[in-house]
Amino acid sequence: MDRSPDAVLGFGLLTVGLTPLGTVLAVAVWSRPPVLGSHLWVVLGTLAVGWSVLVCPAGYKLLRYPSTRTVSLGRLVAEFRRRRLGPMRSGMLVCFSGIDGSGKTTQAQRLVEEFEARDIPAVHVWARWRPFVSYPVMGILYVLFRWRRKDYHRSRLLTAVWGYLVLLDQLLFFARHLLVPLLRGKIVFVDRYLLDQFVEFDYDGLYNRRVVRLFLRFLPSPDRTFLMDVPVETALERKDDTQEMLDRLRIDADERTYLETRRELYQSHARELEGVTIVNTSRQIAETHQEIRDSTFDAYFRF
Amino acid sequence: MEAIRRTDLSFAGPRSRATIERLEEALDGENEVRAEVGTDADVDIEAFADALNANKLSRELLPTGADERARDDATHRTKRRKRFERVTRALDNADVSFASIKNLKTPYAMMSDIDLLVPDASDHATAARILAERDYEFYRFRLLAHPRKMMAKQSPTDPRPVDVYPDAMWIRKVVCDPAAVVERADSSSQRELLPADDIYLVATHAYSHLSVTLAELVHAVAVLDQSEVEWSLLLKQAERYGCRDALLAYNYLLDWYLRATGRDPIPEWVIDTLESGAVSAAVRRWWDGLTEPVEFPIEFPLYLPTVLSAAHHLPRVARRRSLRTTYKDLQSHALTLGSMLLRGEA
Repeated sequence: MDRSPDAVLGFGLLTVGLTPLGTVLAVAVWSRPPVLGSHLWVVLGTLAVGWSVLVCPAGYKLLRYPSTRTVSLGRLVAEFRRRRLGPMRSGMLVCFSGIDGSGKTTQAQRLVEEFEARDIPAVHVWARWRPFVSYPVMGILYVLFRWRRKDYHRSRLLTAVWGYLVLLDQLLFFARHLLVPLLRGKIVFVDRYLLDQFVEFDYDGLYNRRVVRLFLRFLPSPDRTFLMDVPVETALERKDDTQEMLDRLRIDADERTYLETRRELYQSHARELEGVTIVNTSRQIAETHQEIRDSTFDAYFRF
Repeated sequence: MEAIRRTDLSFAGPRSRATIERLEEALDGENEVRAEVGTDADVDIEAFADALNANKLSRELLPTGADERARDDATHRTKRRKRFERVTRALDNADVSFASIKNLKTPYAMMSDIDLLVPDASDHATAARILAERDYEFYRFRLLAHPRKMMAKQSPTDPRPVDVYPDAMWIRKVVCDPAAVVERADSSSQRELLPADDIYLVATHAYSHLSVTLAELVHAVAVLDQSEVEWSLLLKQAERYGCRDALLAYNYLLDWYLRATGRDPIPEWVIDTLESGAVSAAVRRWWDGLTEPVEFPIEFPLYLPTVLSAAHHLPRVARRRSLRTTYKDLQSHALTLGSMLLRGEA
């Protein structure tokens, strides 16, 4: 593509834009004694600056972007979203919830690849709750009473306050791992989010409606939530370290019962929350992926 | 004071008259009443081909019949029409709210790109996705272009790109409310504009590009032949967005063409309404001062669509749009003026 006419025009516009300003400055600096009155200088200076402001940006842009240039679909739509929704909402939060072995990570990673292939910035964040603010409290409780999280429901006080501590943890986690990519307009695929936290509370006997309302109020609502639903047998076939995890956390349950209970909790909480799409993931991975991909693409392109 | 009402076809030069004659033959299939149009047997074929090219018309209109150039143009037009149908059908199926603009109804009009108006950003993103699925690549326009304006091509040298406009603007000169235009467009998959909008957009576009081609002029003739035009809507848009001068300049030519070919002229009250104001007076002086015969495309003097147009247009745009849009609009006028001065084409 021949770029020289644009360059000539751009340079010409810059010259035309800056010449009056340069002339006014030159005369002002070198004229001894002053050849014009102060009022006239102000008028001439203002006119010259105004002219430069009007003409120079066009010249600069011609030199900076001399010709039409290609742009990917991803960049294009990311810009549309930013302009329409503003920087705070131009990203997109997509959540995957479900029991271990339901295929959350697999699908999230595939989607990241799919979006990035289209030059749409995407990131996968594993967001299972990790104690931070609540960690010292957990330590004290363990040292004093040998209590682990599964025991906190024995105390009415703990049942009442535990959720608030977890909320603080989740807010910090959000600020550290999710907020920046969202502000940068990325699609964030979160592996576990609000729904998982509520199931966690319920399973441990620490569910508190007031806290749940605060979670929903202070943490951003996801643009899409997928509950990956799978029969326990299939989940156990896919993931064989569930019992190991239960032993590590001193949870007195066998893996089958644990997963069955949690699956029921997921289904009941999903009914209470708005906008949760239940996806049957016992099918082929590719089949499930297509359903989730289409839904996510729709959400991204229809904003 | 009323402007001259030209009625004679001899206002146009020999090449333009020969072109008009061929166009009238093409239009004749749909119209019964025609005045005799002038012919000039001595028209030079090469000059005629150049005139067709300059007027955005196919060389199928050359009197020599189907030579290679005519075949090339015919193939281009067919391919463009098919692409237009494919793209508009795909967008329609995806529930994208759009309208096809600058789609000239002139017989044998040569259009390269397919222009679509998609005001909503979300619809625009969906349209981009649909085009990307059909192997289109996207290009940004340079200098001053709206950030959402994009050109989609299937290859870097694709001669029939799809241009998607986010707003009814020429460079950044805003001429009407795009959402209203799309809403008024018909519900067929091709989303043709309301006749009044169709004429208005072509007229303002031609004015912004500083010239009117025969393809652009005869477009309005074809629209008027096929449908009733709501002139009051045209006037309202021109008044609201300060495009009275553009519409008046176009209408003087259109009125001449209609009279010269025996059609009903533009209603007097339309021209009378447009003729009010200082900028319209300048347009009238230009029209009255034109020396016959003129060859198409007819160029407007540079000061009309730039300096005088800005004076009339910008205050009205400022009332309807943001300060930023108005500033971009001003820059658009300055860019047209500046680039023409720098190229020595003033």
